Amino acid sequence: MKHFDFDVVVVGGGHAGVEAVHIASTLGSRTALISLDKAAIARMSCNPAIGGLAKGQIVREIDVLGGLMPRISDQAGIQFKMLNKSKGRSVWSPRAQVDKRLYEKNIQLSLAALTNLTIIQGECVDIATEDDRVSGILLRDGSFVSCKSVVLTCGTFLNGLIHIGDRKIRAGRMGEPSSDGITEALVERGFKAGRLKTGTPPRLVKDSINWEKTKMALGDESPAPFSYRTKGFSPINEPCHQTKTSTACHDIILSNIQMSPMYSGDVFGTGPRYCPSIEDKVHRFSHHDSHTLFLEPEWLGSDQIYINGFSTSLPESVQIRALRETPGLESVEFFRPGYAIEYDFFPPSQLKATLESKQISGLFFAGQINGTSGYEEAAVQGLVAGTNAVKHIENKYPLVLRRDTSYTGVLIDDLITKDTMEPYRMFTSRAEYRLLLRFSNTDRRLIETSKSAGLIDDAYYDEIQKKLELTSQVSQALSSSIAPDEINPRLLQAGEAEIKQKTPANKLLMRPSVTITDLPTRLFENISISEIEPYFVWEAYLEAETEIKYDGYIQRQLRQIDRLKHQESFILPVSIDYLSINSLSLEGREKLNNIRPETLGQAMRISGVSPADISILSVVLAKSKR
Amino acid sequence: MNTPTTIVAPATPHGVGGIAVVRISGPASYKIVQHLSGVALNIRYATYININDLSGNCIDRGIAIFYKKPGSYTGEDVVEISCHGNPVIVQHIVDICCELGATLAEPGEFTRRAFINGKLDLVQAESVGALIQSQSAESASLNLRLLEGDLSKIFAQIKHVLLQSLSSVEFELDVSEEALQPNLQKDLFQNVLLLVDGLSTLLDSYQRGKLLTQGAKVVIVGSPNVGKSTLLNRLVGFDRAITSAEPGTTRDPVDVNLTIGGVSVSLIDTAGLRSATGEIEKEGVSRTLQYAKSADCIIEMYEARETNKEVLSFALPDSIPRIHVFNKTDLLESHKIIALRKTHKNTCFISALSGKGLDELESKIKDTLGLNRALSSDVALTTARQKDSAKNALASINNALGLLSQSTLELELISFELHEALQSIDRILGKTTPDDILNNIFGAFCVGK
Repeated sequence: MKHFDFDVVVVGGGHAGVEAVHIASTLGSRTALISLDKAAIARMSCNPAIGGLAKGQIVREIDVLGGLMPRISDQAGIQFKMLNKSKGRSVWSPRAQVDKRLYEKNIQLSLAALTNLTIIQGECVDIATEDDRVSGILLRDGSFVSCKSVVLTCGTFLNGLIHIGDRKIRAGRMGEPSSDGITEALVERGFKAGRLKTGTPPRLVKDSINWEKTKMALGDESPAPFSYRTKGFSPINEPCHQTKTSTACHDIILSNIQMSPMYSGDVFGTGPRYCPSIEDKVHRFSHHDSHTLFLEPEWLGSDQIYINGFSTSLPESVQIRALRETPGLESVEFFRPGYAIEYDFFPPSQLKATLESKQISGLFFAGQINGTSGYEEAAVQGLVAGTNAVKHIENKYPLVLRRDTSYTGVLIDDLITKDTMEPYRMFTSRAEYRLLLRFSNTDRRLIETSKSAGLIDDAYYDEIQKKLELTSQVSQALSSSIAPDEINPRLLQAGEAEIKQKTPANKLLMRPSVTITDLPTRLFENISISEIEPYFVWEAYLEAETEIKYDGYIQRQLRQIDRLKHQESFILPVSIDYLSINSLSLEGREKLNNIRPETLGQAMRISGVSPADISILSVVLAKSKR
Repeated sequence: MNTPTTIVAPATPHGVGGIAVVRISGPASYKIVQHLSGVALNIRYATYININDLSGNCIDRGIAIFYKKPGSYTGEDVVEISCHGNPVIVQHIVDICCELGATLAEPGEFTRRAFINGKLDLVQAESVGALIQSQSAESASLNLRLLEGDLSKIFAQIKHVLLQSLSSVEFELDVSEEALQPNLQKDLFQNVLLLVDGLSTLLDSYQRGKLLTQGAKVVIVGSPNVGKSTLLNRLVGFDRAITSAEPGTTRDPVDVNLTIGGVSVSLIDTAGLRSATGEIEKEGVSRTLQYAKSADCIIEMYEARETNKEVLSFALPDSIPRIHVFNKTDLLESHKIIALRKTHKNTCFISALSGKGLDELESKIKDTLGLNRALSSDVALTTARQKDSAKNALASINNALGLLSQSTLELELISFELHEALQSIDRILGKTTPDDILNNIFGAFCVGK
């Protein structure tokens, strides 16, 4: 029986696990990654894309927080697009189609370069503790790995069960065995576990598709990278294609819908409503004649095509028959069918804002095991959990991000205060301070936190600082005045009222249809942009403009934050016995007792806890303090 | 931006009492009271102040005490105003403070602030805990009543339209990667106009709603011996006020309660207005004016034989509706009355002694107070908190309307304004979470690739 000794052990090599081990070893901890299959580390199990609405913002945050995903996505991206470009700059979200193989390979290479990381192929079956503190983990082969912190990032592998029609396969992903034992071991220690479900569409044979019947869709001409580290960014622009389902396709699905395990009652886990299966879409929105399907390459030159929008757990034969009623797919063949997968998760209300378990000190959870979905959501949790696993050992201040500075803060706060009933994915509307959480000001929001937690080195800090300095230079330039004849022709063109006297540029920018590009270039003549990537020069100008255009709203959001500051920083004692506070509402008592929030701010966000409950809690606490 | 808001609320229970206390806490509290009283306050000194409304009319007199931070209940600057214990006056003072920049305190907010600033000890905490409990119980029962009523239905409708609009906007921002829904701008515009309409109507109803729950005050003024006390006695049905042929019999205002049009009306008979000679009578006249100033309606009474005799009506506030009454028609020949009616169109002709014309007067009072509209089926805002919410919501909705009128559709800003409006409505109906909006989206739109 082998025996290993580490500081931090991370169980699972998906996107959460990768970021956790990367940051932990970067922070200087002796780190181990336990993976069922070394070759599958950083595998993209579902769609071949990173970023997207609200997720693109998270990827940027991962970059400023020193993570790997953004940099490798820039390297492996084959088509980049800024989503929501027509809908307001705080919801602009970058997305990349990614070469899955290259992504996996480059992540694995990055991990191989880390000197204090050891990758162990094996299956974790139990957690060892001493006095409610983690002391190590046990592997299936009997080996013991002793350590001070554990991060569990088991994804969909815990008791994973794949459904295709009435076929059931025990697996963590198609073709990979599930992981059994951890759930039972933790439940025995008093953890609550639940069951969720997600799905993936079929993979099609490229040559079986009649591409002429599909519509081509390209990415942006001058795309945005995710990472400040990316130099000379000029990725290829590989096309994707679109087609639409037909009524004949819908008929086949509807007449076979009982064969879907979701409808036959075979699946117990709750699936995500924002990513419904095709049978769900056809059934619930029967008045829609067709649904758009996206054909995306799995990697550059791939012979496999991912069909986005056709997630399904119908029997393979039904999947094929339905798809063959779709233009361009008349003689389509599969590499593998779509499937649904059920897996165990641990309701994250059992965690602190550090992602450490409230019950067992040194035990952290990140990713789908917390009931989330998405590579990006998983990755950033891995990053936070990995960081805090190290801070825990070093007894240093943990990394806890706030709702008003990051989507990461919103994500984790939502997870620990809400009982997730379906896989959680990020939406911009979950962020009450959305106007402040722009992808283009991620640097300003997070750079100091990241630096002081040691997540980025001085060189990278200085790199990001250059863009921030440029932004303030541009803002400075915008305070100078413009003469009427310098701008009036542009104003006329835009249908705006002309100016009669010299006017400060930033005042003109407050007009909705005036942009920074309308202003005379002489304003910016003295600004130096050397050593800054062209894309980030553009972003600095964008930010300077945004700060002016959105000033009124930004100030209003800041006031909202200010109003709640006291509650957010008010720490609730761990020992408080909510059930004995009779003046609290019954529901409030139960919710508070179950979730045991760390701050008054968290308590306020728990559904079922009323403002009156919060008042009473404040008073009771004042009493007990004496 | 780091300054907390200034909050205001009655600190004594709702209802009629000897005195009532309005408490204002926060950095602007001193300035607000200075503004409404026109005098400077010394720290911890009881200052006798005039409580003026925004146009400078004195609505009551009372005592103000200024507690400088941290030596106050909440640990912030606090001013407490003791006024007469009349719910109408208390409400009015709270309204004035809000106009001057304060916001209505949430239940328990004073205590929360006191707690945050470390001002509570064990005994205080216990007693205040009980208070908060009763407050929340009160607000709970209030909410319950609201939930059963038509008012909540209207608020729920407003909320429904808001949620619908927000869902369309959030669908665009959060889910859709395709072109904007057709008609989005037009639909939003229509919805927002609906909201402006609904909220404006509700706000208009505030005054009426207040009368319903808190009653109206009707003051009878006039020269001595025109029959004011006789009218009061006649309306209430028994001899409440002393009447005599001698002018100036009534010196202290006399107050009776009766019900007119389903509303509790406090009818007040006052000392006759004239250039008084005696000390006591002088004081009586000054009180009459004071009462008249806080009335919802003034009955200005003349003797039908001496209609051109000037009452001191110039001293009465213009903003309060008045009913002109000619009394003692029993002493006048009928052709003279007919002639008078022609020259005085909006005047009630009565005989308080015989009871003639009193129906007409009663109906006139109802008209003036706005009680003739079908109140039971109609809906009105009744509390200042509701008014505050509706007002804030309307302000946000108007901003959204402005944004929707621009050529470029700034959806995230529209969403921000709609969210703010929703938060205002939520103060009445309870919390909306982001999940409510997402649920709506998932229900209404086919989402996901």
